[in-house]
Amino acid sequence: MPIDSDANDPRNLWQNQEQGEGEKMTITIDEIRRRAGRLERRIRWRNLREYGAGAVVIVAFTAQLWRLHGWRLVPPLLLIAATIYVMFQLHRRGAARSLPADAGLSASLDFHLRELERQRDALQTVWLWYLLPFVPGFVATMMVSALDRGINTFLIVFGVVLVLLFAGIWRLNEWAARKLDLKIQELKRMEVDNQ
Amino acid sequence: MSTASIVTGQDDLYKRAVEEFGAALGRLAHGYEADSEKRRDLLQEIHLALWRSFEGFDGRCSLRTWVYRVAHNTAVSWVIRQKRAGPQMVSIEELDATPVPNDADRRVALARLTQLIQRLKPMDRQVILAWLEGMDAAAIGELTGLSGGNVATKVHRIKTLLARHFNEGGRHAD
Repeated sequence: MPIDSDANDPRNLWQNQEQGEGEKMTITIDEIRRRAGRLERRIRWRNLREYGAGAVVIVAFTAQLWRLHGWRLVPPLLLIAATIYVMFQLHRRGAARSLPADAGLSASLDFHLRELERQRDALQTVWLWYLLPFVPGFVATMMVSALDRGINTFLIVFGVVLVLLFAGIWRLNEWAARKLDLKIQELKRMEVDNQ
Repeated sequence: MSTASIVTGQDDLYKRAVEEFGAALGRLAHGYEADSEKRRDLLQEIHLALWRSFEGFDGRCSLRTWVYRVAHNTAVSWVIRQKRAGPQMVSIEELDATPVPNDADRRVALARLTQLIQRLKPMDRQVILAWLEGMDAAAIGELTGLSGGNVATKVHRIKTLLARHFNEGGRHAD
């Protein structure tokens, strides 16, 4: 079949395309409200799950407080404090937030830049607000174990695995942040070109 | 203003936006997502974002600019979230058009055009999609936040690219 006359005109071709089922969407206001409600519930549920996981950790360590005494209380107390701090940070950073309310007011360049910067900053500071708070608790746990049972193979393996795990998470996040940073620099160059 | 009138305003604005730009939103989703199932999800997300956004619509910009901003910004967030799965995106400057064969029909030509759009980085994708929807440089600038000069350069590049894309196949056959 030869090229249609308007297949040569990209604007005409684009605007007069036949839309598949996926692109046709007629939603009633009631349906929109239902879906908005569902979305809100999903976000609330996701937040609850995050807090739930934190609560499980806190309960598990709190249970230990009754059978421990003196300085042996330090590791669980430090780990409980770290969990509360990380949960607070997750809440503050709004990991499960929906689209910002100013999506209609922000030009795309500005919006895109802010979204990428928000993600990059969260990734770059993961070590500070997600990993570092647990370090004192884990170090204290290992010290208590070393004092009680001496330095054995299990403790050494535990320590090495922990260090590798933390270093791995940190490196992965740094790598992802660097990739985002390249995109941010590109958008910033566009901003400079605008001036 | 009472809560009831805000809600009515929100609903009315949404209905008007869908009437006027519903088809364009479908095309926009097509430009951002190749997978038909995911495209449906993206389009649903755009509709939801749009309805919710009208709660804060104060007429500071035209309804068209508002609708396109919300839709593009929602789609850009979508692309950022899905970024790990997709192929490497390129800028308009890096993109090479594959000439549409001389015997291509509308469907093939459109599929090629859509593939070309879906390879672009988000900002360039917005410019080309807005241009394809018939927006002029000033409107594209308002939507994207790019300067007039920047938009003009990109639009010029798009036109050259698409001219090659759609006409070279014909020329080869001459």
